[in-house]
Amino acid sequence: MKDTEIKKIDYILALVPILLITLENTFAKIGSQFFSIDNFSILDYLNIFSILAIVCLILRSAIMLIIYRKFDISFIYPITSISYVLVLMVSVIFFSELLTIGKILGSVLILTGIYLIGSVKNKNN
Amino acid sequence: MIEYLFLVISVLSASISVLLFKKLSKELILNEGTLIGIKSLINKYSFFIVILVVISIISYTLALSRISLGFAYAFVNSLNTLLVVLGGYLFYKEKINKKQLVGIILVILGLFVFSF
Repeated sequence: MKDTEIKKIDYILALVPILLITLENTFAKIGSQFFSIDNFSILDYLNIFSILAIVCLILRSAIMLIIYRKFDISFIYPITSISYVLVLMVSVIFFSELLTIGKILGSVLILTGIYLIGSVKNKNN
Repeated sequence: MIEYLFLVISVLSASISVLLFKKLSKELILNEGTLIGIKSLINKYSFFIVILVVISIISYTLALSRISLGFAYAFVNSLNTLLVVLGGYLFYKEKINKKQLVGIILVILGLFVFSF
């Protein structure tokens, strides 16, 4: 059903969005600390980190377009949901957010749920 | 509390942009023959898709200035997945099988548990 052959390089390409999503969120979080909602200034908002986050988003969207043509969502969803784990790790390690049992358990439930949502036998799209 | 409103705006605009993009790609497949058809389709939808993506990322970073990254990401991503599945069911007659239904419930449950 997919129009092109899947080569080994495509599997590596499928992993790139995970890295980009993690970077995008890291930059977005850092960038978000440079401005405040109350005294909002567009100059503070458009700092280098926010811009880097947008660059990562554009790159990620472009690669996802390629990947969606080659792979099924039953493959894409579980693979990209690895970013849940990475982003959580980043939030705990770099932003000192608390790692609670709720977050671990919640992540496991969400990941399982997303895997099940992606597992379609018949191709609706 | 406005930061939570921004988070919700981010999810809604992201989901709508994905659903619009689905519509665009479905119509592209149907119009495979005519080059003129494809060009006009890309113009019709892509403007709104880009606007919605911009709104989504701006709202997301605004929310991140006050909300923890772990929660914000889980919230936006889970709800985005859910809304896209539900949107596909409501607007594009895409079927939801039992596995997916269980998956939807697990995602909602997981998101609830996540906030503890």
